[in-house]
Amino acid sequence: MTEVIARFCRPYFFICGLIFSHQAVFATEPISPIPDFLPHDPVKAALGKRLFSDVRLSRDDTLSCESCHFLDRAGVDFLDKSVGVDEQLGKRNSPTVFNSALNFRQLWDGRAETLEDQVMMSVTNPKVMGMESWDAVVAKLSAISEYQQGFKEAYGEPINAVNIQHAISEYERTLLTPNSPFDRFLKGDKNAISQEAKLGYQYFKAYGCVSCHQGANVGGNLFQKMGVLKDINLRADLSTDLGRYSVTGNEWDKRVFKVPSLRLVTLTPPYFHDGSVSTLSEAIDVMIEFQLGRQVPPEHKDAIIEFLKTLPGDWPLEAKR
Amino acid sequence: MKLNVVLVVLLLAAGSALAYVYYDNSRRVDSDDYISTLAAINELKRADAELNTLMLKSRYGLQDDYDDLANHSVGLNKTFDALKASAIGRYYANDNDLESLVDEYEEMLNIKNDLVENFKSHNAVLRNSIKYAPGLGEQLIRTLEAQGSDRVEVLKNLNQALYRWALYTSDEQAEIIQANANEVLALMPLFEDQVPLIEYNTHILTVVDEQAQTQQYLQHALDMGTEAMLEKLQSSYTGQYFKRVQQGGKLRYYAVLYGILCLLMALYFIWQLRRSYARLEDKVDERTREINTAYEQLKDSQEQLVQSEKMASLGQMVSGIAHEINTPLAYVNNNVSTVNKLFSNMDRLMQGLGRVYDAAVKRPGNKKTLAADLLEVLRRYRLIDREELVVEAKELLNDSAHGLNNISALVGDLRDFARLDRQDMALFDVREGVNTALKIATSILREHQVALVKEFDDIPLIKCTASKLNQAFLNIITNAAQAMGTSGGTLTIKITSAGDQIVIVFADTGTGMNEQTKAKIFDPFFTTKPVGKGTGLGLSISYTIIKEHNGSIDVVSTENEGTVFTLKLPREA
Repeated sequence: MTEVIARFCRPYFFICGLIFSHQAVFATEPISPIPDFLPHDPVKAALGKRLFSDVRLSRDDTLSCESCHFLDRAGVDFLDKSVGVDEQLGKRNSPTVFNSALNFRQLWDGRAETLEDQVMMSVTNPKVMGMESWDAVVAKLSAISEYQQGFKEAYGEPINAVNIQHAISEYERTLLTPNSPFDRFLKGDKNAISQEAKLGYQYFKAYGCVSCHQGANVGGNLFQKMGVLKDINLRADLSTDLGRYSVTGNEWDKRVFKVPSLRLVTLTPPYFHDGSVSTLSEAIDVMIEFQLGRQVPPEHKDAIIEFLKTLPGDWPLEAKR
Repeated sequence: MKLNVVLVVLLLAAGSALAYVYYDNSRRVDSDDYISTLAAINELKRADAELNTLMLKSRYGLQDDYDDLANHSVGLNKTFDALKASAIGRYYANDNDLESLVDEYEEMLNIKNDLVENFKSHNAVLRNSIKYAPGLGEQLIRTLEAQGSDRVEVLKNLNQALYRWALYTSDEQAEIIQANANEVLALMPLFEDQVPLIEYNTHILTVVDEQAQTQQYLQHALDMGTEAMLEKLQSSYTGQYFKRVQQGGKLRYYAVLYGILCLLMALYFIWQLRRSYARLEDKVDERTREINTAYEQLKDSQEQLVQSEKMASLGQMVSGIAHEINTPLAYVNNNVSTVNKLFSNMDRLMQGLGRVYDAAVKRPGNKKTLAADLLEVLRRYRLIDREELVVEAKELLNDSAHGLNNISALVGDLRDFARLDRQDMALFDVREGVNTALKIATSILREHQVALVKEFDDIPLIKCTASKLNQAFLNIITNAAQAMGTSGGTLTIKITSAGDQIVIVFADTGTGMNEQTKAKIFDPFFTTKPVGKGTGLGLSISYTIIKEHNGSIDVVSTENEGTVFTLKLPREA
């Protein structure tokens, strides 16, 4: 009996506790700065860097990871949909590799739980890098003395699928863009961003964008349905891809996608999972219409764009815009 | 014996089975494992509770971003992986109870993951609308208030309900919102710009709808009973663990029993070993006795053989010596009988004289007869040849004395050889020994027509048993003579002194020996002579004698050329 009461009461005790905790007293910002670095092994990351730009990871030696994630172009290829081996058109738009380590899952439908999973899937995806199998990848890399040596030094073991995937992921963990103007603003530098950008941030919060686009990566930490407030079927192009449904088979997951990070949104057109929207302004319009269910005056939208421009930070040494 | 093997095999089998069970059990009752497993379960509980807290925070707007929630969700799954890698996953995979509990929890966890994701999505939408709608409502209320419309109450009630609901959810507020929401669209004619009203309506409906869903996901996630499940898992694991610990205690008890059993077995084996050892000793004693008896018998028979060899040698010697004695004996005999004859003639003469004397005494007057008788006797005396009688008898007796001297010398040699008076160690001239032996062997040497060459240096006396050495010399000399057959040959004997040793070399020009024979000549009972002719002990005895004197005996032989025996004797045996 007491157990029943205790269980019944527990959530309320929680709430009471929460309300009086300091977080309730000092309101926190929904967006947090990008960390300066994530824990990683520099030797393994250096190995991963070589692999990242090595075309031998693809079936016909034409593509590397970098073929779709240009490190000098904000980690994307600016195409609607990326081109895989044999000029095959991919299904979805390539997201940026920068800050991808901050995403809670990888790929638009989140079917890759980790960066390693993403590497594993993409290399053997026939429409992406097209390797027959991971055995084939291991065999191919094992024939290269440079890698034999490299893996022995970094991992103390021969080349295998797990350490290839790990090395690339380890490199990706170094691809962060910290110290953005907005992050500096969050850390207390009131002059780090313009007045209009500050205003834009307020609108970003007020119009509810921040409901989904929050956290360090300004998104990338939850799934959301396209068209929560207006039927997305009104946009034929955006409604054909069923997104996460193809992974889970749950009815609710139809047209559910991972909320993308907005960190580099101003640098990485075109937009949405199919790359069907080429400008940021248009993309914001789609979001306002289908996700927020309200109207936003153009000047507010411009302010929001100003805010979004303050989100990209410093690039890793080897990468540029 | 078979029983022992079976016992040992059984004992070993029982031991290894016990050891395996004990090992299998003990690795499951590792206290570090237990602690780390409990820690993993506790960490899981903590992570689960933390996740619940974060969901509540998000639900009530105390946390605006989902980074923490997303990270904790990932963390919870990692912690579960750690649990699966702990002792539970490793050693209790076959434990149906625990395995099903772990599986059940994993299923729960997967469902919870989905619930959390759905909650996040819906909560985002809900929070957006619940933030936006009341403000929009205020705007609409102000528009209607400016118009002075009495329908403003609908919106006011609705907005108030929304505010309240923003703070705490209740069915009452939900009903108010639901009831008033239906009237919102009816207000459309009152507005010039109808878009905000439509938006308001949409958001209110979204709030109601999303609120229901968000609450449902949240409630479901919180009420899944993951904590109770973990408690169950923990108590089940703890129960299993202590059952194992208990079992370990029992196993230790069995181990002690096993140890006692081993001890008993060992004692049994020791007893058996002792018993068979005692039996063995008895057997050894018996065998020793048998061997001793056999040895005694052998010694007896060997002594007999030695004796018979001695007898054979003696026989040879005696026949030789008999021959030597026979010749002087024969003529001494002859002389004595001749002297005897001479003296019987003299006796008759003396008897005649006696008769004359008797008659003269009885009848002194019968002078005539007396004279005639006396003349007769004297005539007969003349007839006897006085010269022959006395001279011959003297010569014969002298001759006989010489013969008897010869015999006497021979007997002396014999005594020298046997040295019956010198059985003990004494200083002795080896040359004398060799000479004595040669004398004893005279007849055999003559028989085989052996020419003797003696090269004796001046040598010192040595300490030895003379009779034994003589026997050895005689054996070697006899062998040498026999080796030379009847065609004759030369036996060269050299005696020299070399340092502390006396070296005696016997070299014959006989038939010699092949290697095979040479290798065996000192073996007892080995002989090349026909059966019955030799005992095969001659050289063996010689060898033993020389060894007794700490000497050495070497033999070099070439077939058809001869054999050389070299004896070396130390001065002090």
